[in-house]
Amino acid sequence: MEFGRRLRDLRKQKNISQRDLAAQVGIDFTYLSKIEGGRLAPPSEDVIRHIAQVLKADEDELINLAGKVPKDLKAVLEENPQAVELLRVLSERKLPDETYRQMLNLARKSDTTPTDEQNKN
Amino acid sequence: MTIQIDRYISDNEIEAQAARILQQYGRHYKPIVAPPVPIEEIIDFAVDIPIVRDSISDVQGVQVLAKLVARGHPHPSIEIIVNEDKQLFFDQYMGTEQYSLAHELGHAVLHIDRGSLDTLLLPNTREQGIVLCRMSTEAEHDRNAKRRELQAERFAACILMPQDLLRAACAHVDIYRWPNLYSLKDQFHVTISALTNRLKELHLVTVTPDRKLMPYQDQLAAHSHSLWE
Repeated sequence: MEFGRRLRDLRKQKNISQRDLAAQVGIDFTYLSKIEGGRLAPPSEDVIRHIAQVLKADEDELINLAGKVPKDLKAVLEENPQAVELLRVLSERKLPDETYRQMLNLARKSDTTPTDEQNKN
Repeated sequence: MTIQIDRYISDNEIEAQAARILQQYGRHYKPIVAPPVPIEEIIDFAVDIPIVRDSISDVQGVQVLAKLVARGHPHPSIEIIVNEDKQLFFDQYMGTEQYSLAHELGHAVLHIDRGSLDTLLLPNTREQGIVLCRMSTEAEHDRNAKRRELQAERFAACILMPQDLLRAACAHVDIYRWPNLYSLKDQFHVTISALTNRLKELHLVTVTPDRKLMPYQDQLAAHSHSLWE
């Protein structure tokens, strides 16, 4: 689903008018109407998070729909070229959900924070 | 295939359509117990037509305040576009924005067969759409177009100034004094001409050629002689 259409659905579910939402988020209501109408690209991540908070919606869902990479993930990708490679491989293959689950379990098991490492040593 | 409806629609039917939408909004969202009628919310929530603020170019040298468009492929939907370049005008002249929205809603309700929208062959892009219910210069279409405009105007008056709210508001003031009418038009967020036209249609006032407000007089009845005693 498009970002604008989803945003309009969420806003309507909460019975909040375009003008009210725009005022609460601190943006112009004409700008919000253009985003909802698909005339403009989704706003910045900060604005999307603010909108999601006002609407009590899932911030990550809206950020994903906007085609944006959340700031924290962006930092991980910038620091770790292998993470980028892993994502690239994943995007090229159609893997079953089970494989994703196994990979997540593996990643969680081998999760070692700096404090753990120090404790071991 | 056309999705446009061109037919005679009686004033009573237009009034009933407006009342139906007001009731729908009142039932599902918030009952409207006092003016102004929240036309933006009614369009957005009860009728589910997106309102988009965008720039609209003049058409043959005529300024356009708002328009109704169908957009999207393969499943088109309708939208009301409000000319954002006219925001200053809307802010300056209270009621003009509300009336423009109500007018376009009138076209959407009275003149568009929304169930057949999918039969429209629109460009495969979100950027382009087609304008619905636009005035045409061709003679035959022009007659239909003029009728559609009048019907949309009447619809706008009916929905922005529902009879019950307007009659209730008139009951408390002397409506034969212009300052009171100016106060009423501010309450209803309409223009003074829209209000006086509505009051005339409802036979609540008569405006004399020298702009005096009088109680309604049925000219025909006053000058006709009964054939029966």
